[in-house]
Amino acid sequence: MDHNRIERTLAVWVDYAVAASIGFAGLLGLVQLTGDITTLSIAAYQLTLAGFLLDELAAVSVWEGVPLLSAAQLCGLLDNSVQALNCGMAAEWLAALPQGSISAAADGSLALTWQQVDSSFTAVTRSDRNN
Amino acid sequence: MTSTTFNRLPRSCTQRLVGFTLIDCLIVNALALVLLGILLVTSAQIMGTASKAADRSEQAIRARQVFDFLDAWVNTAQMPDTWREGRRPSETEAVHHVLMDPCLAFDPTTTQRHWGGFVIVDLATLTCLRGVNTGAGLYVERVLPCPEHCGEGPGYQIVSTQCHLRDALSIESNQWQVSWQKTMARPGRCLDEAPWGRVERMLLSHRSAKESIEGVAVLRLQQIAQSVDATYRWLNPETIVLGIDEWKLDYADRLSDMTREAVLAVPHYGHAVRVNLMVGPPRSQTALPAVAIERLVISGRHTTRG
Repeated sequence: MDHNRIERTLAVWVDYAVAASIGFAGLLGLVQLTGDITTLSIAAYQLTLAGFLLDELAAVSVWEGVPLLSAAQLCGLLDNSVQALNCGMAAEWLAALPQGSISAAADGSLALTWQQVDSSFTAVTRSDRNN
Repeated sequence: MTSTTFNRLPRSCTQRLVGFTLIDCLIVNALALVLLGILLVTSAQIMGTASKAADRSEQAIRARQVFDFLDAWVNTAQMPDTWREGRRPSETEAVHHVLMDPCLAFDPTTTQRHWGGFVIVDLATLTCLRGVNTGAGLYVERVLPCPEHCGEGPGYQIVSTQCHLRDALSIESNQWQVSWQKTMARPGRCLDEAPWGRVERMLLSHRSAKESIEGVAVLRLQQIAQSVDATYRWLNPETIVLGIDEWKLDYADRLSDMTREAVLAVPHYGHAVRVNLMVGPPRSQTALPAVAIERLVISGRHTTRG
């Protein structure tokens, strides 16, 4: 194999490598974009569920004339609490949120926490003043 | 290969002929095809997952739309707080809810202390809407204070009897009248501080995919208007949310009501309604099941005990 032939072959391989790299990077970008869209959709879904859950608790709280925390307790959503009210799908929504839990925040408001797709935790709080 | 043939070939092929043998090309092509196949399958899976997540999110968002509408309407289905000065309607005033009928015109001579509310109606029994729909509907009467929230067009105007009597009645003894007016401007010969507003009458109903022109189940809204001959009629329904496969309405009981049998005998007044929805999948390739959503919808926001 002469020197020129090796050079030409190498040049063609480099061309292929560059083209493949560009294509691969583009595809990686597409996969990344699709992943981001999926993450965003899941986050929107989870936020909507969290909104439903907090709205339901707020409605139960007003309807029964009790604070939000008591409403969560009566709905059986706090640790060691027993469900005493019909709270619709509140328990299902909490279960649908990964590692979802309800607790009392430091200022006495209600904190709903769950794990997002990127493993970080998100917390949404609601107080009796917002009702 | 002769030099004549070599010269006739395009430049790209000549380069390939110089760089690779036929076997090289075949192997590269085979590898490229395998990679492309893997890529297509993986892409299809990723797209499918993304599409499912997006569709599920859309279902939840459509349910959210419905409840946002309902919350907005039902929250204003009572006398504004500033008119009531924090006073809750009594049980006797709440009887008004029981008497609410979408087929009855408001009598301008009737005075009441409380207007607004919502009730569940059986659409099949409504003579003014016969043949339009069946099943349960939600009839809502909203009270919107003017001039901030009521707009200018014609409609039912609610005014205090103080407005016309020009006496010094206290807010406690205040009564309200409703009559159809061409504009929502401040009523004539009315005290400056006397409030006035608009009463909106609306009916929310459901139509199944079979009956719907759009081919999908829809939630629809109807409003009332005055005809040329001064009679009142319900306007044609307008679609507010698509893809609601089913909806069910029930009055809600309080825990205290459930624990006292005597209270159950008292007729419900529409103050809280449990709404069940089945939100169908969006029109796409993903075969998602319908999502069930149930929420308590209440009017008014009052201070909680404790």
